[in-house]
Amino acid sequence: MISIDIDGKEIKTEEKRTIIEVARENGIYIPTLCYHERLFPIGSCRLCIVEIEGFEKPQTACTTPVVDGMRIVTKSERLFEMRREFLKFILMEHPLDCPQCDKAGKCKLQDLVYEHRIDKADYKITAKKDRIEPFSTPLIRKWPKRCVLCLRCYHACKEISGQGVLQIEGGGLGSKIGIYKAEECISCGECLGVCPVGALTENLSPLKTRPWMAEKDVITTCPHCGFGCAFSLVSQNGYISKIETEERMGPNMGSLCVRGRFGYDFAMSELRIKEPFVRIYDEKRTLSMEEAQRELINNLKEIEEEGGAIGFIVSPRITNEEASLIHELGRIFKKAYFSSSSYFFPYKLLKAYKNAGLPYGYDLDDLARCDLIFTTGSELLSDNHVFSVKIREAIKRKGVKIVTIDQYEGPLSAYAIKSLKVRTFCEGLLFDLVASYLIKEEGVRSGIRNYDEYRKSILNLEEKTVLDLCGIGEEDFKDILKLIKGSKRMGIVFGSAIGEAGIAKLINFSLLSGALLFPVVEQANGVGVSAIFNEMVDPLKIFTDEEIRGILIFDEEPSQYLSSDVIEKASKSKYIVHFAFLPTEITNLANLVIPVSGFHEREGTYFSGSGKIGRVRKIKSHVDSISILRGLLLKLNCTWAKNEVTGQIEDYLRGEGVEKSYLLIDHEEYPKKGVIMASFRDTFKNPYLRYSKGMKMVESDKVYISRRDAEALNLKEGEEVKIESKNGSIMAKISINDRMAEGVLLFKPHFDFSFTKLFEQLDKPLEVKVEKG
Amino acid sequence: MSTVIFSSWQKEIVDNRGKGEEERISPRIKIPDLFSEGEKIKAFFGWDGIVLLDESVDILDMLLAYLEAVQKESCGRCLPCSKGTFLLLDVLRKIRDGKGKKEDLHFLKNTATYIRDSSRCSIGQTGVIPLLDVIEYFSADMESYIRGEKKGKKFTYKYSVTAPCMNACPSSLNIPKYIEEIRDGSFVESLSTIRERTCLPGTLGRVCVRPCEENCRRALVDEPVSIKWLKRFAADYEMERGKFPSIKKNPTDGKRVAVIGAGPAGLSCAYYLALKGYKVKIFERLKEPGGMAAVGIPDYRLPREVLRREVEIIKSQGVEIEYGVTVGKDITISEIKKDFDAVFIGVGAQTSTKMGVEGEDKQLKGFIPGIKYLFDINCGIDPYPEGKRVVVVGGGNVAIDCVRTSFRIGKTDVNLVYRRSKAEMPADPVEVRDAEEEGVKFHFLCNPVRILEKDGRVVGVELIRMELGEPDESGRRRPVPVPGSEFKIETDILIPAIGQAIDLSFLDEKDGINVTKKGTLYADPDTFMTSREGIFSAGDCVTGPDVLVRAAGNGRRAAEMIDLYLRGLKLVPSEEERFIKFFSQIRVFNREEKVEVAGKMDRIHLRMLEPEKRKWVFDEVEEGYRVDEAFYESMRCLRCYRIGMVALDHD
Repeated sequence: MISIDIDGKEIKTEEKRTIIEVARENGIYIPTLCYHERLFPIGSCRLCIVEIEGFEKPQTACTTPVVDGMRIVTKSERLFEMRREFLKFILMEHPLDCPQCDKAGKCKLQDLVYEHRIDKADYKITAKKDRIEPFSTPLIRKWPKRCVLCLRCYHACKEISGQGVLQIEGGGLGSKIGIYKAEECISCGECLGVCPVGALTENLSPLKTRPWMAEKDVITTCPHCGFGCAFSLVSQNGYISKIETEERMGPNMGSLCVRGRFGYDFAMSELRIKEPFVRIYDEKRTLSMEEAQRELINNLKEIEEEGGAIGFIVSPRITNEEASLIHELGRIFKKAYFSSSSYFFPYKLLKAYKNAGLPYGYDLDDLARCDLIFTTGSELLSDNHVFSVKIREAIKRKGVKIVTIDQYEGPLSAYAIKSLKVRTFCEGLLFDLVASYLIKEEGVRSGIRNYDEYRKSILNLEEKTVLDLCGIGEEDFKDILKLIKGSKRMGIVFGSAIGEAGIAKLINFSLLSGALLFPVVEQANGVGVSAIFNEMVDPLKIFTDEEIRGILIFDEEPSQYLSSDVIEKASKSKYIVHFAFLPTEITNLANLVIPVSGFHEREGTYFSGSGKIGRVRKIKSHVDSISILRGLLLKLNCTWAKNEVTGQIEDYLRGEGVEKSYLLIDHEEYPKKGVIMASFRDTFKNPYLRYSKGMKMVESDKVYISRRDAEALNLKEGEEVKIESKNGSIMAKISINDRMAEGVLLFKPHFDFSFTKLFEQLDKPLEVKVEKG
Repeated sequence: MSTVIFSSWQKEIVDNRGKGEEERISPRIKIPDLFSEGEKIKAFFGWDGIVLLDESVDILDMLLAYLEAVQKESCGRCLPCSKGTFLLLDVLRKIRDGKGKKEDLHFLKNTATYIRDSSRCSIGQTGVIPLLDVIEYFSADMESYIRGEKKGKKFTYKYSVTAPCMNACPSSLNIPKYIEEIRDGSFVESLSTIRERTCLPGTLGRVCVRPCEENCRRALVDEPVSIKWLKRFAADYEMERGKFPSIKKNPTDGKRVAVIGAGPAGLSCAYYLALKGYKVKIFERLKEPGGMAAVGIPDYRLPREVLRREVEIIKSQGVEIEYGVTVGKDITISEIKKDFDAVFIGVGAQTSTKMGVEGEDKQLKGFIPGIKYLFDINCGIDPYPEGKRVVVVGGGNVAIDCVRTSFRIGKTDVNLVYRRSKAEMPADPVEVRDAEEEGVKFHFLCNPVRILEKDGRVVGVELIRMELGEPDESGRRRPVPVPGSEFKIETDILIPAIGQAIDLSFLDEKDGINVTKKGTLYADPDTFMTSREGIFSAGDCVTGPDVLVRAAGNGRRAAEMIDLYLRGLKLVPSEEERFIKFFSQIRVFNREEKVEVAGKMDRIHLRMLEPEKRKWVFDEVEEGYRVDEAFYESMRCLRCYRIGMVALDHD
């Protein structure tokens, strides 16, 4: 503890903190333009200057660490004059176009100029007209002359987003933010988020809202992935005009990915389904909600009476409250099966944790408590940008070492001390091999149940065979072992691409080594939905099982993870109801379509991938899914028992009372050697994103192949190829990528999901043939 | 030396205006007459004031030129400097154009003071000093400019940016830039900045004697910035990731250069010549690249992989190395000269200086000169396995390397004998501390007088106690023997490590290369050319035993000269080199400066292996910075860039 004095107030604080941090904590205001809590001190605006006893020159509060006994004055005539002068420097060039600037009313410069009583721009120099300069992403508009060169954007792009898109160009008065590596831009909008003035503005929404005209800030949880980012919906008359964040908001601390920040506009689509309709032959007939509910009940009851079963496929982006009502609805029927895209990862993950006797959930702050982090089966920068932001934070603040193990060297690998390219579905196997070394060489033991069987199966592994299968060299593996040996606490961040066996292997590895696990869940409420429907079946069963004759699909598009052939075939013999916000493939095959709430119309809760509750809030509801579901239950004479579902889910996740044990894997398939195996990413994304104009500007469907494979197959960049599996074939444009593992064809779909024709089961190795089209 | 008319340098005001020759006094700052041949210095404007050597200099004109330079060099990273100095310039231009007002001076003073007191780095903090000094001491002249009356004489202005650390660096690394790049997280860019000036970043990041840190302004606040360790961080970041740099190379023009010796000087010369497109071949006597850096520095300080990797990168630029060729024996310089368009000699100083002690020349078993001792050990040989007791004589880094290495090859009793006291030791104090921690016994203030032998092998050494007398030329107090104070230490091995000498036996008279009286090879200090045209030389063989960073720096400079030579141009140092020399004459670092930086940021020290663990093995003792540590350390840099401008009169 040290003691300092700020403006005559004695403050007790800790060493190694800056004056501005301590001042803010104690409610002492110091003006600044460039200081940002999430960035290292920039020191560009010099507005935070303070007087310190013993020093003639004023010192910047953002860069000066406090020292015991320091006496600081934050307000004086000299400081005021100097700050005023610096603000006038800015006004030399800064256009006074506040009336047309998006930022007016929330602009830091506006506030500071006002605060410093500047009534005219004394040093106006003949400024050139503000030209529109293209920015690194079409989603952001740059206004060069409005820039105050606080450099927040430049530093945020590097420090937070981990990219190096921007640079400081020129010198003196001609200094400006320029584009250094446009190709690295991932349109995350971190730069936009930190800009204190209107130099960067959102270039997507046709409607702009003044801060004082916006409806009160609605802070909600992002619907696009399971990280649980919080943001506020800026809206006017029910129309979303912008997504905004603040530096301390949510686990994301204000960061968002491209989808979070710009993937909201689909909600305003004109094509939204407003009324229920039935399809009789090819004709649509609009129904009232009352009629639609009766129609649904009658048909499902009929199926039940004839001995058929009902299948439910629910979206992992609905709230727990909706999910629990659907669960209630299903339980009314004698034979009901539940499924979701959650089945593929969050559901299996939760099951595996349960079977191992582990509580589910993790603390993101623990990332910084590890000294070595592996990331595997999830290309974090694109699958979950904000997760990678957290990892980089751990690198930046704690010097954590990162090892990436994936089919593709993503942008995070640039920060990795080691980045290994591994063949698909082999990630877990590699950790088994590491485990065998820990047992053999390091004498690691465990008293947890099933250890002996686990040990036996692990010790059978042959290093050469495993490394061959993984496509990893011996030297690389040795380096990994060395890093593990030197580590006191490991963390493993993993995603869905490691497959079901991979989950079990990583859990086992964690039980053995004490490594902390951080699963990356791609679906916003994948955890909540999986916990509510604690018995799920493969969605394939819903469509192929003859017994199931009625399918209720809630806000989901199964053709993103099931072959469209299978779905089409099923639609001929099964009664399909689609609860939808916007029309997707299955809407056209459904017998009955009923509207649901959009993400901005929901009120309730999500459970993030880390097992934490996130609040979902609405701006205005045109359609309320909850009341539609309750209406159905009422008509079926069922009253829903509980309003509060989060407590139940928490209990489920805690999962006490089961003894810890290793997971035994009876049968697993490995990819064949010497052939190309398909790998799929991002297939569980929000199906409505295809309606986002913003996303269309920056994302496109990609099928990646390694350079060596492309050369062997004599393929050129961008060439149309035929991709064939035992299940079917598709045509696609190929992207040759130097950072791909060999023997892997990686699908990153954004709008076109036709590749689902290739597989039967998404989470099993799939061999494909690629040839010239 | 021309007389100074006015100087405000470092606040020492010397005003000789209107005074007769005999009344004039000289300031402390000494400005040379000439900047280069035919270029007379008339005035100097810099970070600490202005110096006028000619009354006719148009002060306003030079002030404008100086502030234009400040505007140009202002990096845009802080408001007062990037925008404020433009405003000053704007007002000064108005004055020049006859549109000035008397109040402008008040405005200029006020605004310049704000900029001085609040800019982020020294460009802004010092860039307004000449203006402030002019307003203070030349107010009448300024008013006269405003009235449009005064007109001075205009000269040619030249300026350069420097920093105390940069100017002190024998390799002239752009230190503030590479540190700022680390702070920005641009680690790759940082390493390329380093590589612009040295191809041995990982080596220098470990073993450099860092004159930069002795000239670091941060030391006047708390402790110097760890410039060396940050360099190592940038190099290691690339190495740990197994990445190779992408280096821009000029297309080859086919001319060939031979380099003798793959030591720091030879490698540097070869690398920069290769970047310029020449075909370079290095002839190396050993089987291993690196010269003294490889065989003179033990692995626990500089792991061999680091050096090998740097050589790999040099080779990837097209440099060919032939190992195991002894020039002078296998091939002569003159023969090489026939096959190549130019030759560079960088053979270093590879032999030990004699102690002048009885028994030294008897070739006793156990008597091993320091350089040979290290050489053998670095080649994996214990030169005398039976001997377990060691006495090393000397106080430099080689002596310390010898004692610390001794434990690592299993010697048990290790002693160091030095004729002065610990404070006078030329070795790096950090190394001395490490040796103490590892259990080396130090015997200060004594000197060997006789080697004790038995059956042709060393059994001990007789020493005499010394005391410190009057200071010698080096400023250190001269050790004087205390009569009758002789005593003996038993030992199996006696290692003289009092200095290195140059072995020039490979030269033939026919080669036409002159040797100096000191026994070094003669090369022109500016052009690096020896007495024979087309043959250049740099490094320890020219300077005598010196530090690695100087040999490497001069190797690069020699490459510049060889380039000029091969292009048929006149061999003259670049303007930048002239400024480096000029700045070091007037001194960039001012130890007396009161640096106003509040708050304490302690330097981060490297984690080290425990003495008991490390002393027996050759594992690298120091562990480099983690990312977070490198960030923190980089933020300690005060970015002391500054601008010096001369007004020049051409004959």
